[in-house]
Amino acid sequence: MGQLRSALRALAAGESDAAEVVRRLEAFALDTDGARLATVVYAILDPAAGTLRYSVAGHPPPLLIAADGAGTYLWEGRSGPLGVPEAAERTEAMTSLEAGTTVVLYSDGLFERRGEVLDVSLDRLRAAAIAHRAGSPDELADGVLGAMLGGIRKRDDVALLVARLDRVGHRLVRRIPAVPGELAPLRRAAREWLAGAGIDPAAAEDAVLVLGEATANAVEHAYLGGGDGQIEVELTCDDLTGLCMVIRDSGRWRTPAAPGRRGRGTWIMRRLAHDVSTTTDAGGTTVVIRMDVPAGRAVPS
Amino acid sequence: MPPLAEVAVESDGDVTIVAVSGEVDLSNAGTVGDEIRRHMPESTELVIDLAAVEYLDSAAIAMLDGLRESGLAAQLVAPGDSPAGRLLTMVELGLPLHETRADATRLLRPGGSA
Repeated sequence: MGQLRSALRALAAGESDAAEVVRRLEAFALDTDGARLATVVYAILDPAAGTLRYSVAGHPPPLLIAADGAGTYLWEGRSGPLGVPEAAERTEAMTSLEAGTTVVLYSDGLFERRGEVLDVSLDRLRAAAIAHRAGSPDELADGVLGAMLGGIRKRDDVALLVARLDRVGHRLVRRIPAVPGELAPLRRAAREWLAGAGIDPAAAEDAVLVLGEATANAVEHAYLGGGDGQIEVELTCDDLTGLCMVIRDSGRWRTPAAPGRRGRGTWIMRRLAHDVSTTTDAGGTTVVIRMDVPAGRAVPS
Repeated sequence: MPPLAEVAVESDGDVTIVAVSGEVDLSNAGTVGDEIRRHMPESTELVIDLAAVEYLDSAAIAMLDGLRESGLAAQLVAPGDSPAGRLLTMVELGLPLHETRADATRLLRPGGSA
């Protein structure tokens, strides 16, 4: 178990596909004594987007407790335990979370009672979590442990993880035709969104300029020679990571014939943004821009 | 839909003032440049007032650069806290930049000084 946990930490770094993390972990488990038949739930909580991506390998399902007290098990994204040849292909699922939702992950040691069927165990767990939802995640965890284990001396390891999404960040997604006339409406949408996200007006204007430059580059260079390309823009903002703008197009950036505008545009982006990275592959070009947002201004509660 | 940017022209004595408002980007920088060029005076002095520009980017800078390269000797006006003032201060275009119209025209009048 300890080995799997350490491996998972290394294997999961930077990976946003939960199923891929489980695949990597399985490859490791196959070479590790005693790791076969291990079960795992791997979940990625994105506070900016308000999403949970998860992959479940032979493990009991994640439990969500909504702020209004509704309790839901997540039965998607399932496959068998690690190292089982007939385990289904690793898969993941994604669900949207409202602010105030509590995510509960646990091992089956939490509820296994001799002779009790799984459905009954899961119902007991859900009822216990709902009953303690008014408390902090710590208090909810204590309440659930008390309710589920009572005085029973456990033989199996018990693991319980409780996370609550206090606030959902802000997210703007737009897809526009790659033509110059679409740039101004996109900037207008971004301006409104940035204001709604509570970002300081001067920082917001810088962000609009950086976005304007990046999308103008996409229009001008990705689609030189015509075509009906599209540009996809995704803006997210939360307390943890600040403002992130992702601009994707399906073209290949060309070396500009006249470096004047684009050279300046790129210089302006780098000057105003905290980080700008561009990757081009067969599918197109993706620019990821990170900007520091004045502390405490992002995401009003 | 109204045009993204407007170009208005005024005369103040022998100084011609071209005032740009709205937004200047890749979609209209060429048109705005042509408008300014159309008003480029033969013998008088030119002021380009960008104080009312709400958005401009490298496309506008390239346009102004093009005007400069074609021999235009304009005075630019944009307060330091306006979008144009902030961008022009950052990119350091080779045209003089003034806080106000009065600052710009003073330079152009006989007896004016920096």
